[in-house]
Amino acid sequence: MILIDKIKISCKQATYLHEKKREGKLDSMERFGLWFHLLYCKFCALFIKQVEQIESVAHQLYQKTERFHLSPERKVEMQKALDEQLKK
Amino acid sequence: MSVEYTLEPEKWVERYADALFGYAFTRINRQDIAEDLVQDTFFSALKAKDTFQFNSSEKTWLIAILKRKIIDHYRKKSTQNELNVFDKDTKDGFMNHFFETEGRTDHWTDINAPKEWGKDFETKVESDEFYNILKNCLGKLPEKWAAVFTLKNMEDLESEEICKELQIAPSNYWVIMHRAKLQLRECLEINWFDK
Repeated sequence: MILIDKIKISCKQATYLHEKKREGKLDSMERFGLWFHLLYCKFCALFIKQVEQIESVAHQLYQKTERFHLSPERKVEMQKALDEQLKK
Repeated sequence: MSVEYTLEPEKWVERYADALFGYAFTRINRQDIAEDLVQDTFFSALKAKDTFQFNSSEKTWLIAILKRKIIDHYRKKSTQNELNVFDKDTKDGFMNHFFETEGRTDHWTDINAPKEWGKDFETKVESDEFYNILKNCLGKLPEKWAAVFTLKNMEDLESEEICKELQIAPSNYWVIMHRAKLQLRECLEINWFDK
């Protein structure tokens, strides 16, 4: 029982250790503690699954550059400013 | 035969302004700042035109300049606003929102534990509406957290580079990522899945 108590970590620690794990910085005790926690904690398993989904969506968001356009007015302003610089 | 690219600055706005703006605005949640960075990119490119390598395209070159400006923007923002989020204090309101303070200490509270998002998540997630909610939620993060999350997820920045750019220790990087994800996940759940 004493060993179990040593291994048991909280959800706050588990979600934190997951971040540390992604950088490959867990020591063996932490790795085991996280693994053990995820065996029985469905909330943390769900959390990890969802944040991974969020990151993958965020990644896609950064590729969607064609979704946004400058206003024609702003482009005219930019062209003017650029022309000024080109004259110099 | 190798292609040699030339520079035609007088056509930059017409050819690349939208693409550059799209690149900036997906990475920075403020339209005015994104616009300014595009303009700055053109000016900097003009000043640096002698350094242009003729084996890369104009657009690739301009995007590289803009990307550097985006990193600089986040660096300035996040070093200006040194948030005191690393209190190991028990009165950590942010963490107490998610995790129990009594009884099952540091386990999810019943109210704020993650909820199942349902099977149709994958089909709906590619919609413009979802991207807008994500953008909105990113905009609500403290500057430094948004900086860390954005720099990590925009293509090819390694966490070591991010720590160097934002002048944070690796352990602070994990702390920030942890908190950013707790907040982002909840924000998305509230704005999308619970509606």
